[in-house]
Amino acid sequence: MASRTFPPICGISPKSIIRMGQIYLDDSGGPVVWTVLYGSDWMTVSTPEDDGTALVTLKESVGEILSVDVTADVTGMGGGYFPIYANVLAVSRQTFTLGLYSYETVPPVLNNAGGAVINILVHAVKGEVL
Amino acid sequence: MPRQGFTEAWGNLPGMTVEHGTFSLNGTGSGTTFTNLTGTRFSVTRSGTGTYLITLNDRFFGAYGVVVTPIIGSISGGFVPVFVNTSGLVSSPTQTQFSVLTYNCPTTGTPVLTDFNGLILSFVAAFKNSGAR
Repeated sequence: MASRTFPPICGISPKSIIRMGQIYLDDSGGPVVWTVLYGSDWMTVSTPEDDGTALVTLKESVGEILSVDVTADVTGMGGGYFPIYANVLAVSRQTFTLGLYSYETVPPVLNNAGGAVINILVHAVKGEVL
Repeated sequence: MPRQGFTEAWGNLPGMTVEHGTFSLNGTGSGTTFTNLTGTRFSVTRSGTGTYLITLNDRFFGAYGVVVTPIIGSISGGFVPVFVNTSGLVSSPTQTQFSVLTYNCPTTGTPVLTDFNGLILSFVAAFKNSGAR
């Protein structure tokens, strides 16, 4: 495994980027629709499958996604549908896949819960990873 | 008071400030107390069983979001896994607040179950820089 070299500037590389945003999933009926609430300037979201998963693509070119953190926000959710679980199913160089669950269902599905917001924090590094 | 936020010089989205912090829960029931582990510009209060209101004591406008992760290293058996949701993220000219809802097992209808002793919650929140002190 290749090592990574970061300059000792507060422990983070100048090439490192942090992006944060929110996407909204509408599962109130019909096809699942994902919408970017914040962060449309750095990410796009698509739904290859009509389920509780979403493919997020970074608009800017990065060398590698170092980490992705997500938390589901239940503001406005009706009773009986939460906790809502959000997790990261897969990460590649430029994209990552999110999953959203209600109850303990597998695979990801929100069971027509109406909608939920996922908070996303992405840490990536630009350029070639040493 | 030291700044806990990053600046855009670190590669953040231009105009974005990131605040972070961790705190631990101590005790159970209404006597739950909190200890700030990292970060100084926020406070925590218990607003219900397993529900915690975090207040960021700074001026921010427009929240990009907040990510919360439970750290369960100090919790003894029987209380894991731990799940969290956020709720009510609001930014005002004087402060920013959001709630963290904790669960200790999959459930339906009941958002919170119990207060944990030893649970550490870590959060990262991002805001627009305009209006920050």
